[in-house]
Amino acid sequence: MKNIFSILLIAISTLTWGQAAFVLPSPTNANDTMTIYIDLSQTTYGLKGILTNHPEYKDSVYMWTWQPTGPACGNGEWGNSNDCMRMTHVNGMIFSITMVPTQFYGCTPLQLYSSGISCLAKLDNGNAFPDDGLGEAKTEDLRIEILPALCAEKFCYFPEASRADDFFTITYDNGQETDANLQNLGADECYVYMAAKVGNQTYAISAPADAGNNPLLKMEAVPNQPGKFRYTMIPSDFFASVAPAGANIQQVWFYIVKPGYVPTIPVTIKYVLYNCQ
Amino acid sequence: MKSKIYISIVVFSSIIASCKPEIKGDLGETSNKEIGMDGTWELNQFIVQDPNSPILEERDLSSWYIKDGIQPMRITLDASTHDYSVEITTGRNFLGTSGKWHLDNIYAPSTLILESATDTIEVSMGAMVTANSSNMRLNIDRTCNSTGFKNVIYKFNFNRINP
Repeated sequence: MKNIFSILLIAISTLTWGQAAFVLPSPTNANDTMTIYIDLSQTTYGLKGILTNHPEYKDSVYMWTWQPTGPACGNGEWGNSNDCMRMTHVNGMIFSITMVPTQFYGCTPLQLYSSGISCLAKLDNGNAFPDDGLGEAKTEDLRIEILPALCAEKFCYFPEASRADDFFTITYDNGQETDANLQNLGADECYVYMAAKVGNQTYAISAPADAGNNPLLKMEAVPNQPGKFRYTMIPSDFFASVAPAGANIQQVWFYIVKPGYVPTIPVTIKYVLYNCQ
Repeated sequence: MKSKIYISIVVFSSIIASCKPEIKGDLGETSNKEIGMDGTWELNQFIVQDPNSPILEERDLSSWYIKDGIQPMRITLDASTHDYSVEITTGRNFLGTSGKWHLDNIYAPSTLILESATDTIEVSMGAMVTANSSNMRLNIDRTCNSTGFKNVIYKFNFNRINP
């Protein structure tokens, strides 16, 4: 089994144009688990030779990284890396480290996608084995571009930051639905209960029991994207019939319903509108 | 001997350079772009771009403005009076209903300024518009004045309807 995985990894590594460092999965969701792989056989600095001379140190390889930011847990000292940066020996000269990038780096998705990842692999002690004459026990600086996985969540928003008087789109991925009664919705079955939050009050377009029958609240199936539904509105216009005139809508509250079914304990999503004062 | 070679190279290069044709005529007078924009323009496409998306994602929301049997949004720019007016039946009007208009630079404009009774709207020019242009692109950057944060860009593409 391990051999099959190794062969797959080598094949993927080859497919990624022989890069010394790459991430899987790609495209990548910044808020989900991803793994960084470093293939030392494709690097040129001292670490490759040092590990060839001292293979017993293959469990002492660490990542050192500085972009998109330094790691939240810290790289440690050059002569003594922090444990959180330890890489797993996968096979041969391939090492990996698994993380949720926004948590690992303490960065925003935009920072990750725009900056990419800069890192290197090193031994716990980056100054080890000076007598080998191979320089520091590290690879050269490695750069990984991150291809963003767009709209990978159950609910996605366009634009990411929207004002009450902007066009605002909610995209719902029914494929990620955990409520069994709402799974595998047909093209005409997806409705959304929606309310505007103004101060301490909420103003709903329909009562929950009626939302699944209100054509105003029907989500459109997204062409060529099975299981995805979309709803576009301008909140200040959309809620004008139920909210007080000139109300400052701060949030849009919503959850999915279908004709004849409303979740007993709905999980209400609260989208905070961008408030430009 | 060496200097003779250098001199030969210089002379030969000069001969080659002299073969370059002379530029004839001039580039013409710089035109007043306000005159080029004069007329009535009808919306034919509406695009929303998220400037905070890593890939600057765009979506076509033209269907909010262009519906069967309904005249799409129109903007009329009068270059002589500098009056402007907007006719809109469907879709949200981000341009104001009427007022005065002018360009930040009449010869090389980058911004169209629309001054209505209650608001001044600055609209980026997507491309230079001349009297021969059949298309006008206007972009509205929704930027918060207090923070400078730009949350969305609206791209309006108009066709000239009274050439």
